[in-house]
Amino acid sequence: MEALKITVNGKNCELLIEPGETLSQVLRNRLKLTGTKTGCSEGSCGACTVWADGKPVLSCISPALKFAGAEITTIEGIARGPHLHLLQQKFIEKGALQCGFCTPGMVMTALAFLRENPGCSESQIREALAGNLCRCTGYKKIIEAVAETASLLKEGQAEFIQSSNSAKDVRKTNAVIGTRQPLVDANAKVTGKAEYAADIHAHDALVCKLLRSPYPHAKILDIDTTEAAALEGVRAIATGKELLEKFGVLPISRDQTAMAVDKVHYIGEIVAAVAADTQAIAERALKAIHVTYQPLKPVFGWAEALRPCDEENLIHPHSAKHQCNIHKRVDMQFGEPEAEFKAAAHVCEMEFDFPGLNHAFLEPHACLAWWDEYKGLTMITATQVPHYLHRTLSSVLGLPLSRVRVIKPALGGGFGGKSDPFSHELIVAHLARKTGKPVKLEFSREEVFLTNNGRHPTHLKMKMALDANGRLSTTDAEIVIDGGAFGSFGVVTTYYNGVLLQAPYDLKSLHFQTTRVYTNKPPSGAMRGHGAVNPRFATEVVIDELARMADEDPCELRLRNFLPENTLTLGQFRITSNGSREALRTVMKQSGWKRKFRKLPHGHGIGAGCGFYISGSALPIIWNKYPQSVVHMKLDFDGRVVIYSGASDIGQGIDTVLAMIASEVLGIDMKQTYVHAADTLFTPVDLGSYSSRVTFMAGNAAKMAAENLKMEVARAVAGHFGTEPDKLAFEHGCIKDPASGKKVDWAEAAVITTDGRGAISTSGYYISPKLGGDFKGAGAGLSPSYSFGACIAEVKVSTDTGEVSVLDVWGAHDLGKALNPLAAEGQLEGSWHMGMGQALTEAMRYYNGLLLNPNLLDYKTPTAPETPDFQTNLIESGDPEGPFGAKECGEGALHPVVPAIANAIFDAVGVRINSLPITADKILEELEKTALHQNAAL
Amino acid sequence: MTANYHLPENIEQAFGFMKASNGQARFIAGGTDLMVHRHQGNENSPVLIDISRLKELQRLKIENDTLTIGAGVTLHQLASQPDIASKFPLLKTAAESIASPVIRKSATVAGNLLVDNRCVYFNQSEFWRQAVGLCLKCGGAYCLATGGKKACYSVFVSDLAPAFIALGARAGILSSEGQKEVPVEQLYSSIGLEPISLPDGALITDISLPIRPAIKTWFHKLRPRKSVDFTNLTMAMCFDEEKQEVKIAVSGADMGPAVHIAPVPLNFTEVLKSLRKNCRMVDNLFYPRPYRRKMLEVYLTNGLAHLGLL
Ligand SMILES: Cc1cc2nc3c(=O)[nH]c(=O)nc-3n(C[C@H](O)[C@H](O)[C@H](O)COP(=O)(O)OP(=O)(O)OC[C@H]3O[C@@H](n4cnc5c(N)ncnc54)[C@H](O)[C@@H]3O)c2cc1C
Ligand code: FES
Ligand code: FES
Repeated sequence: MEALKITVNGKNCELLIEPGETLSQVLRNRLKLTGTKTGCSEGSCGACTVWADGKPVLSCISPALKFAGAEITTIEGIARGPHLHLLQQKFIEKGALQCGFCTPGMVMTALAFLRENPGCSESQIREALAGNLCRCTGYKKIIEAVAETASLLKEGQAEFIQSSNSAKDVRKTNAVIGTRQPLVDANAKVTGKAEYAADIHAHDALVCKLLRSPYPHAKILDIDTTEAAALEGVRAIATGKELLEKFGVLPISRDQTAMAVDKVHYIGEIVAAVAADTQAIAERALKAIHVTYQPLKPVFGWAEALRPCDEENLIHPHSAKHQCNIHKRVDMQFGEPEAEFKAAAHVCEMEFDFPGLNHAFLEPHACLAWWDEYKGLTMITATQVPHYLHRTLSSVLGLPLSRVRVIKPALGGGFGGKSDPFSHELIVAHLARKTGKPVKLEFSREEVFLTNNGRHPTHLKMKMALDANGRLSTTDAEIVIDGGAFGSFGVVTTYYNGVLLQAPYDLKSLHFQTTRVYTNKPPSGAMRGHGAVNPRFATEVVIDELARMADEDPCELRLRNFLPENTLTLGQFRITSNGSREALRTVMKQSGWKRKFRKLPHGHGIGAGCGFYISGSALPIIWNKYPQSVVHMKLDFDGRVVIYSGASDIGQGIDTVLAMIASEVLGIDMKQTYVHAADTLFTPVDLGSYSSRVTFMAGNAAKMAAENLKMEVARAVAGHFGTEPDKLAFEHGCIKDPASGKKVDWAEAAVITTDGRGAISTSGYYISPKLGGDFKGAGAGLSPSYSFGACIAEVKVSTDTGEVSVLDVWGAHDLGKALNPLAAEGQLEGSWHMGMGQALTEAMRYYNGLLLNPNLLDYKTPTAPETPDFQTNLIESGDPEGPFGAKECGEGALHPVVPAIANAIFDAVGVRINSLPITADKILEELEKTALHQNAAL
Repeated sequence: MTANYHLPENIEQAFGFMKASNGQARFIAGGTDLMVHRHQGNENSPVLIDISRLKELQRLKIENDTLTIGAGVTLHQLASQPDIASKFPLLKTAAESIASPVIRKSATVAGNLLVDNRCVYFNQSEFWRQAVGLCLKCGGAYCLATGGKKACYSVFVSDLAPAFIALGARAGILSSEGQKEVPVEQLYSSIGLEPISLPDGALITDISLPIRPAIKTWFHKLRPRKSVDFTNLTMAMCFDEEKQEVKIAVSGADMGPAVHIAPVPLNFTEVLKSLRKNCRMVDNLFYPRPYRRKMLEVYLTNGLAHLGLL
């Protein structure tokens, strides 16, 4: 141990530390200053940025002893008491944070930059933030916040200001919904106070570390833990045999155990786990566990997986009926595609390849569990689905549901990657019960990649026809998706790849076959835009090509072919509100489409894409009659309305929307509400943050609960006034009887309501209406509502090098009604940014089943300098069943942007790259082929 | 694990610690390369000697037509010095192409010159390297990137090095053997396993380069994103109008820098041929080898055209 004297946020600290400790470890673990986040611990994300003597440094790659005598400033040291720095306030107001995990580092970097460069330009800001990754916002609002701070400071505005969490105080009925509301937890996130799973320290907690398989496919002959168990400080070791119950988010594919039992299925699968006093001991123990493997023949690619395989080498025995590694095959047909193809004026068929993608949220998974003989199991974990984890913990650990409590703390991004119950959660819970002590686990970034459940690698053939009237008549798709080692959401993915082809275009027929295969790679699962992103890409590229064949404008072609409002699709999806036309027209106009398309000089192009998505799956994953979302509201004498909801705020802002809804219905200030969410002990069930269901379903449930509460209050106040409840008006934080002019404020109303009976609670719920046909597979893709959208992208392509720059993206998304436009825009911009990554740089690359790029330097999400300034349009079609007319905006916006970029590249240089990502090398290769071709023709 | 961390105040102390460590110590400057290797378990020296407080390494001065840059000057300082920006725009561009603005505030000039070679089979966690079966550079039997060669093809990636080399810079080296000065290109062995050829425990003290008014320069770096990424090919060129000679230096293409000096007028085909021969590229970075080879030609063309030599 070495002595370290430093000043941290003005406080002198004298510590004894290990010489190898990094500054982030000292700050987080010793000083409990957990505002400093670690997203990678290897210098590639910027989340850990702090200041040393005023200079920004990456605390994760800085030895703490380097700073002996220095003055360290962390995010906790920026605000002065209740006074935030103007930049923090702008982050709040501008919606520059969603999950908030990148925020502390972002603020530290930006503020240091502003102090040095008060007169900075927007492009300098982009460059300054280059090393700080954000996966949620698409950087647009961050850059706005920094730019506005710079100009206000230049005008002489005070640096520190009284903090306020709302852009403006809204006290009127019907005035909250539709206003730009900062997230209710924005202040906590921008000051480093928000606690994420890894930030929560439990007294006397053990550290859990996991032993992972170095083999892609092998039998486990023996696991010898004796040496490890004998180490001092090792409290427990767990292996697969202790948790034999299989699990998986879908009841139809429970094919995973918490740890490998007799064989391993991919490199990185968990084989054993250690709970020890310290991380160092746990790591030593892992090295002392000896596993004997007998390698089996591995399968890495989809084509290989389709080849006949003997039972011995099958990845899962239940594939035996296919005699190869098929997990699920779906073949569906509506109408007669063959006839349409025969009658078509133009037919276009193309083949596409998509790599696997990772969600790359900034917060690595982490969880903490403890066991109490009376209270049972409590787990705090970074999850999007506390409910399914609740059920899974119960079944795998053999605990009654009533003995399990799951809490979701602040969550640093999910995008689908935290929507499965995970092995590590089951293991930590098991170890907590086994040792009787709290057990904590934090993933490394590499472990995040190995856990994956990201977008499926996909190979697909897409064939579409255009008839003589310019109508898209039919689609035929043959799709293979690579599920990796386990099922995850894969059966849903298999269906979605095909059934989500039946909109937004009005087809006469459709046929698809999707096959999901198992391979010896980390499992694929659900990722933003789940199941529909790749076939959407193919569709929109094929449409672009059909338009070229027919020599017409692809946007006009799309406009002619959109489904109308209030209709049924081929497979009986019930389309109600539909803003696709308005969305596409908006971006055409804004981008100058007509002026630019096919008219820009060589190397410069513009392209379009459209899309649609479900707004919440109409069917629950586990079939039962329980509503899909329930919200309770409690009013007590103090006047505060407590909203209990199981919904998971993962940065998208559902907590804020729930508070807005209560405030809207009751006519009260949002400050009189309090959201207690995602704690399965106290909050009624919400199925979770997946399938873009939360605002729609939890929003409807909250609206009902608030209306029921309003009724209770109205009855009590009406009794008090001597009038009828329905005569009362709830507005401006008061309840009035317009006839008599009598009026009470909300605090008085609360007293009147609770007098003689105490606190009251009301409930609201949401259940989807019965939808769809009654054929096999009819349930897939059913949703009470669908979102629609369009994107136009403009790019420059270097004909020398093949490098692409995205100059701008114009996007429009029909979200029914923007309950909170600030957050809604953020969802769209984040989706477009993520789609841009898929189009141009992102791919999970493998070498013999081993992921080559399991880190944030080599897995290339777009950074601020190459991200364009998105032009964001909210299209409000007013959904008849959504809360206040709202529907989804968290996923669907991703679909159109990927093909829009690809089509723009085609417009620029005339080459189609149908294997993503569209990297410079592929473009140049195609350009050269075309040149050779042309030369040969001359 | 680090057993000792020293923070000497001057060079003498630093050498004292180095000597006392019996070859167990490593210098750490900004730590932005070293610490990542330590995180991944690729670097495990038990003793670290932090040289960031050595005043002797912080100099940045122009004297007698020579620019001297202390080894400990940060890339940020280098890029924001107005004198350097005006006299050596090449250095500013090169420095600003490295890592991110935050990293550049800690990363030093010498640290960049001595950045370890990179390879996708090497820059990985211990778990990963064990699972793949250890490549040559981490103690295995053969090179995985080439599918079995007995030589390591890890790539030399410093972006400052080509710029310095093109400009004819020299590195001041202090070791137990005394002080000496060598051309920057001589810091490198072009051997993947041991890419740096410095005496044991040697310290780079500074980089000096002649100020020549009659030069024109060009720099370009290939990488998938506009920032943060390591190079896939970096080319720097300096055309000395007096000598009628162009010096081209390349990183991101071989185990060491590839350097070519050509008299003007030049024979493009020959220059390209020579560079190609000295750029033993394999598939171990983001972009595939054929593309990087193609870019070598494109960069050469663009650079020479920019200098008016084509
Ligand atoms: C996300 C990320 C992106 C990066 N991108 C790039 C990039 O684009 N291009 C690039 O070149 N690098 C890049 N780097 C690596 C690194 O940041 C730079 O190379 C940096 O300049 C290294 O300087 P340093 O002072 O931090 O070196 P350190 O890490 O402190 O040291 C590097 C090596 O040099 C030795 N050393 C340092 N100073 C001396 C000296 N005076 N005498 C003798 N030995 C010395 C050390 O012992 C060590 O072996 C990146 C790093 C990260 C984390
Ligand atoms: S945690 Fe330090 S850079 Fe990612
Ligand atoms: S808000 Fe930036 S990563 Fe979530």
